[in-house]
Amino acid sequence: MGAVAVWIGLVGVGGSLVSCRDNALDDLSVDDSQVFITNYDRSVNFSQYRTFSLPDSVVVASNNQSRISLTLAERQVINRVTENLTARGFQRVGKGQNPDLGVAVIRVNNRFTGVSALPYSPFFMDWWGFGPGFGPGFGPGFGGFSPYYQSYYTFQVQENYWLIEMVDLRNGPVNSGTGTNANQLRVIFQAQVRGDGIFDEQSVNNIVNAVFNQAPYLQAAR
Amino acid sequence: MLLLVIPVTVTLAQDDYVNRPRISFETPFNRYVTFNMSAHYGVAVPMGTQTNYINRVSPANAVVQMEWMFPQRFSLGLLSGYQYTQERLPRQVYQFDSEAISAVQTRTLTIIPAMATAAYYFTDNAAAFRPYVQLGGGVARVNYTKFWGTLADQEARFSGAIAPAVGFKLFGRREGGLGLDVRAQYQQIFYNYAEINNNQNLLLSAGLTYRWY
Repeated sequence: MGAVAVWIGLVGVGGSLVSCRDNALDDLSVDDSQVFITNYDRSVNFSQYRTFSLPDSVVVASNNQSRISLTLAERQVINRVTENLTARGFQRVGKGQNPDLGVAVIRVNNRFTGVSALPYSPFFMDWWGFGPGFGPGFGPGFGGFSPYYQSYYTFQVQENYWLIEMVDLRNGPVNSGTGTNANQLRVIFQAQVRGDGIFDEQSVNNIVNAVFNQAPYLQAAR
Repeated sequence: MLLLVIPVTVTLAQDDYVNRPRISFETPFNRYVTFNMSAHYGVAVPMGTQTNYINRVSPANAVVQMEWMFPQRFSLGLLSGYQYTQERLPRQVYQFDSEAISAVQTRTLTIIPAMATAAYYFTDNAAAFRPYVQLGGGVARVNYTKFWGTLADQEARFSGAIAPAVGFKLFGRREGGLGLDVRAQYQQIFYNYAEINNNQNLLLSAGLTYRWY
């Protein structure tokens, strides 16, 4: 009887002391959960660009569908992206004024995983005038162009995140010709923000600032 | 005078004929294969390249072991358990070529060994104090999960493992069933991923052990 009591005691103590991976993040604060990932095309000299074009709304990409949205938080993101780019010397222009850069703010709401499966909204292609008029569309789901990613990185979890991308409109599409890779706009900068609380109005300003803080190479010619 | 001598003689004679099994028969522990179970709690000190990943003493480790005790002072057994270690790093920006990731990393490593053990004991199976040396070998399920914020970089697989150990079992009395087991075990798992090039740790554990037949 005594032995049984000791065994139960040992198991009890062990159970309370042993932690595990499943609750490794239980004490992670909302701010600490946020991850900022930036990537850019090293072959690109950002000082060649002076102007950028940014739609007034956010595209919500959800699996193979996308829609346009403009909540208060989304408006804040667009404003903050504009402010940061302006502070770096870029000038925002209308889409008809031959912008050098196309900036896309996308709220990805995917159920599957993997960045490589990310659909690129035809909304931006049309908006910047590279829509159906520029040539035949290649590839399913893309009006005229598919995005060209210089490099890939994938995280296997999480389905809701911010994606801020810049495409090179100044030099036009790459891979001209025919085939599945034809007429792609070169994505020269990409930022992903993942984690908890990233769609909250009070945190989006800090999120966008954090993205630009770790991308000092985004700088127009002075 | 004669009356005094006779009772003494009788007493001596009776002594000679009393049946005393403790002397006549060896304990079953030393005659048959008997059983022993142990459960340990321990702390793990990281060694080698493990310190590149998590350089922190882990307080969350358990060992369970079943042994078949042979009268020839050796045992064969099966060992399993659970080893978990975790470390949270403050937010910093990690630079990979053109890619930068700002995150609070939570690094975790979970090890579940499944080993066969062979031990040699320096005292007999019924002894009150039983120091031993042990060699374990088998596999370990290693789960490497590095969280970037809430995103997980995960890799899990079975890898070969060896674990030499020294320790002692203290039963308090000869043939006692319940005892204390104290052990220092070096463990090497042939697991290579990211920062880890052969996982190594020193597991210092203590627990209860029970022997029976």
